[in-house]
Amino acid sequence: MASDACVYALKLLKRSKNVLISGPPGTGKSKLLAEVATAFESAANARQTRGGLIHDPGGKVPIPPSTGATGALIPAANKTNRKVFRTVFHQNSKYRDFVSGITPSLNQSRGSTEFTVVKGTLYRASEHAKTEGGAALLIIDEINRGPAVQVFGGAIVAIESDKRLAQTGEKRAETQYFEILDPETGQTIEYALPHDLYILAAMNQADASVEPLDVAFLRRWEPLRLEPNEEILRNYYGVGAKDIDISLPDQVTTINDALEASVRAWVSVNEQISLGRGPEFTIGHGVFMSDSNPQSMGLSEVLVSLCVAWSKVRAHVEEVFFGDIRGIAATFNALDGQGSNPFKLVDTTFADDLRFRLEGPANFDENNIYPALKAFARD
Amino acid sequence: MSSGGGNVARILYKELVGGDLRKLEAKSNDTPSGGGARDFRFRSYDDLLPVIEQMFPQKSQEPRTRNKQRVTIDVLKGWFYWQDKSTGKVTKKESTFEPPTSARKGEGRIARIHQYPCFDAGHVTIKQGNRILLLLVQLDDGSVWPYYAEESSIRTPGLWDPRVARELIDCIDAKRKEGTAVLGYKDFTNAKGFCNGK
Repeated sequence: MASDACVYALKLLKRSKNVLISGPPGTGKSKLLAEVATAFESAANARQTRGGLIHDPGGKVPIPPSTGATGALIPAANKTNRKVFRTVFHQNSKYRDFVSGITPSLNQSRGSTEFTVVKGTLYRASEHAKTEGGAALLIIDEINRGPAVQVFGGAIVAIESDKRLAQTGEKRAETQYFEILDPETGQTIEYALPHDLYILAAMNQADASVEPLDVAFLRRWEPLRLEPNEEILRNYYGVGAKDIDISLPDQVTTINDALEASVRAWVSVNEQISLGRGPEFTIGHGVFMSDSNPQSMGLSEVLVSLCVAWSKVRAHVEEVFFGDIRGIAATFNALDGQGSNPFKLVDTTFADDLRFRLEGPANFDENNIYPALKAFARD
Repeated sequence: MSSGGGNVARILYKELVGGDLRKLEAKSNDTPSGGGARDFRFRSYDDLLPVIEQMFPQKSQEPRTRNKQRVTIDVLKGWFYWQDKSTGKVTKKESTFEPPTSARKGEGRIARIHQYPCFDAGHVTIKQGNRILLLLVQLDDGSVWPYYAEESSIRTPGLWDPRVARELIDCIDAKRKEGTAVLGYKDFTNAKGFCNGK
């Protein structure tokens, strides 16, 4: 069963062909990319993504093609030659790697050409979608970690859904052509993108090390924003909805005490980050989630796993409020020094100037994690 | 008992080599005595563990001899299901997956394969350019169904579900060291997978 986010992403892809997923770290962007990729390749209804993967124990082959209805949600559902192409942008991503370009030819024999024209990821996906019955989904993770506008080059306009070739592959009045170096001939040719090429990208707006994307670039994408989701974390923890009448106990005695404290602390920390830096700098539920089921663990094991997760949250907060000790202290409710809080803001002077220092444990451990979470939660 | 109709949750596959077929015939790999372990061996045990633990979900402590010492080890257990080709009746038999030994680190194995009619390889012939994969198919109800799949069949358009065919073909075509058997899994419930090639 595909998630609601997957179904929504497929709808957007079908409508606009280019979808840009954004959201804070840990909100499930990469997971969603993988889910959409599986659903796209399945060509079955997204609500029954694996519903089409039927076992036939008496058949000629054990897993024959689905005979069920093709989905109304999947882009190009009637196309059978479906393929997903993947790339990750980084600081050294080049137009040549993404579209086409000249690169030295390695291991060439004497007398052969010394350069070759490479087929970039976009070119290969585009060529696949132009084949008989072909449809391609190009997934670009971390799109703003590289120089995206330069990497797309002339393709930037041509990716728009109404600038593509017709479904038949023929030119339409609106089709936008751009020049590329033809990997087959080495000549400059005019090139346009096919109808059934879909592009799904993901980015984290809040990372300090990423490049900003310009408005003209962003306008060509249908946005899909993912947010930190308390319900997902509560479901993963198995603690149910918050009961506002019940406060966290002073001492942790059950795994649910610890897990409830973690959820409340995380919600509170995100509220503070939103106030201090903006919602795009919050941290998602995914940082607390793993393949393990917390309800099957003992209290000690749960506390250890919370220490690991909260170390990541702490590092994130310190990065987000880098150079702003009072911001970090406010986020961790350490301005006024709540009784149980192992962190405390201390002011001192240096060269007659006021200086702040956040005092607290170097690392979370089984003894200090629960008091810390109770304090962070402002419960 | 599982009827066999249902959704496929995950697949685990491994290329058969000549030695595997000799094991099925209860012959040794290197002696005419008929001795030797009759099992399907899976390298990259740690990488495959997420699906192995799902396909063989029970743990059982069993005595084994290691370095001439009697020791107790955790053996993984489950059930294999298959449909009798002549009667169409579904049959099941308890399956066993043994973890790596110190002599063969990183290599788990399905034991006593010659005792399972579902592994009958009478119709299987390994030829150049037509690899044979052992394919374990797990359904949503947890049942595990073993099959042999010929490369030529997998590559025939429209014969297999394209998601499964694509997964297997991509792994068959992946670059790997010469003499290394194709090995991998795909979990369709979470899109995780593994292939021992690049």
